[in-house]
Amino acid sequence: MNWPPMLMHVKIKNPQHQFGFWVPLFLIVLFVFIILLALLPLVLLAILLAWPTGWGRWMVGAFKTGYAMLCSLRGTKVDIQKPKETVFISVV
Amino acid sequence: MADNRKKILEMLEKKKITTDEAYRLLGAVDDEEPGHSNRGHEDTGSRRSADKSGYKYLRVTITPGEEQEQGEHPERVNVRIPMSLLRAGIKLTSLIPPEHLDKANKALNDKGIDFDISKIKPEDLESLIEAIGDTEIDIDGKHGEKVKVFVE
Repeated sequence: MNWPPMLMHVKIKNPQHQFGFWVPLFLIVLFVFIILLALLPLVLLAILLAWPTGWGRWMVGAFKTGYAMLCSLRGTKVDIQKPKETVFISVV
Repeated sequence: MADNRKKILEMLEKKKITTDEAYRLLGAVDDEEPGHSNRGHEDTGSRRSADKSGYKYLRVTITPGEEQEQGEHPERVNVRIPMSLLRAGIKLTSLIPPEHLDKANKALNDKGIDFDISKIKPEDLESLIEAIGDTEIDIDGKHGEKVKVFVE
């Protein structure tokens, strides 16, 4: 089973600033899941009401694909280096 | 490639670059080598295990040419995109309403790209990945920069 990414490492370097930080994605994902859980009855109601129009199926698909995309972010790496500027983003 | 490594080590010795920069440059040189093994710079263990086609990532690298390297604006780009993200992205196209897909197709046609987005299917992506597996797209830019697109 695929799990959402845990951390994101961001490093930015330019003549004015130089910093790097780790984003605790697991905390953000946990927070979003808690909110979604709280909103679940409303979401289910919206899906049921929208089902005859075809948008209900779309909403289910959007949730599934959104979650799949979130889980797939693991391993993404962007590293751009210029002589005086560096941008590095890594999702683990 | 051995020359590049030597050059990096010389630059480190002369303190023109930091250890961290040398580490990254050596990693980039390794990445450029066909069938590279990463030499312990990155995660070597689980490659080619989770994916059906054996390829886990799409890689795009841009390295400056010698002419650019000595100039003022050498730029290195190293992007790694998981194949699963591409698959999820393809699935996302099925959620786009048809009228918007038509608009996107029209915009592509206007730019001279004869391509129908609505016909992209995850199964097609699998065969494309398999086909691209042995292919390495190599582009030499007009300023001497080298663009490489490959899967690993």
